Amino acid sequence: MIVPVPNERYSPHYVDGYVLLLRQIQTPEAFLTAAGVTGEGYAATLMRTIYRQLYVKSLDFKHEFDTYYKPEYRSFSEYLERNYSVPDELLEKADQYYEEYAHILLAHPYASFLHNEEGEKRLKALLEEPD
Amino acid sequence: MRIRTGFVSNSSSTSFLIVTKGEMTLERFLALVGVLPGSVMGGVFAQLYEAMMDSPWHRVDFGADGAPEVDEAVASWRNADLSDHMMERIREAKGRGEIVIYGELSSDNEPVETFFCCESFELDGEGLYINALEATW
Repeated sequence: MIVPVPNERYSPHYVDGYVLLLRQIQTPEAFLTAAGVTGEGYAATLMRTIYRQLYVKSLDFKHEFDTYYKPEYRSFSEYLERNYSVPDELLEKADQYYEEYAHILLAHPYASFLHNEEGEKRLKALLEEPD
Repeated sequence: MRIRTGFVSNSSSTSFLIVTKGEMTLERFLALVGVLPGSVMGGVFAQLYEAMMDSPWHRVDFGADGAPEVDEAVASWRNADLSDHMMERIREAKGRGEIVIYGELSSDNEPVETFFCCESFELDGEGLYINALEATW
């Protein structure tokens, strides 16, 4: 599941970030296959960079909460609300998502072709999420 | 095949050079970058291909009858953008009778073109060479 996060500095409608709610992290190989990459060309280099942005350089809210902050807050949703500006649709169900998903990542892919409505469709396809 | 990549932090436009043995086609381009047609990234690179082919500044077929000499061909081009490395490839293209396409990507257009305008890459494959390393305003 993907929740778009608008970039308020640009516009309330410009989406360049996403919260990724995942049961498991794709392998790099699965990600490249979902992208349609063949061989070791430029596309493979590019998609490995994007993979790192999504899965390695992203912030895992759930991991951060479990590792450092759990004793300080009554719930995951309270931790999110007090520390991050996340969309209401995520906040409202955050505690349910916490139980349901293994990873709750905040990612900002630098590729502008993954931003906004068209980009979200591409990202869902890359993550093999239903549209 | 050789690949070199990088990025520029801010670019409103970038020039690119294509040297191709025979006509440049979408199929050859997708094979060079390494994506399947119809896939997610196949669609992204197809948009990049369209952007590159839409409005090339210059196209010279060095295999055609009456093809110009290199210096004559590039005299009207923006020479400041043509590095020694690019000029060397154009001279090689002349010797092999290949097609040279020189054009521009702009960051004012679609998101796909905008992204690759700020990317920097050089791809050298079978009969097809693309140089988008030298981002310029």
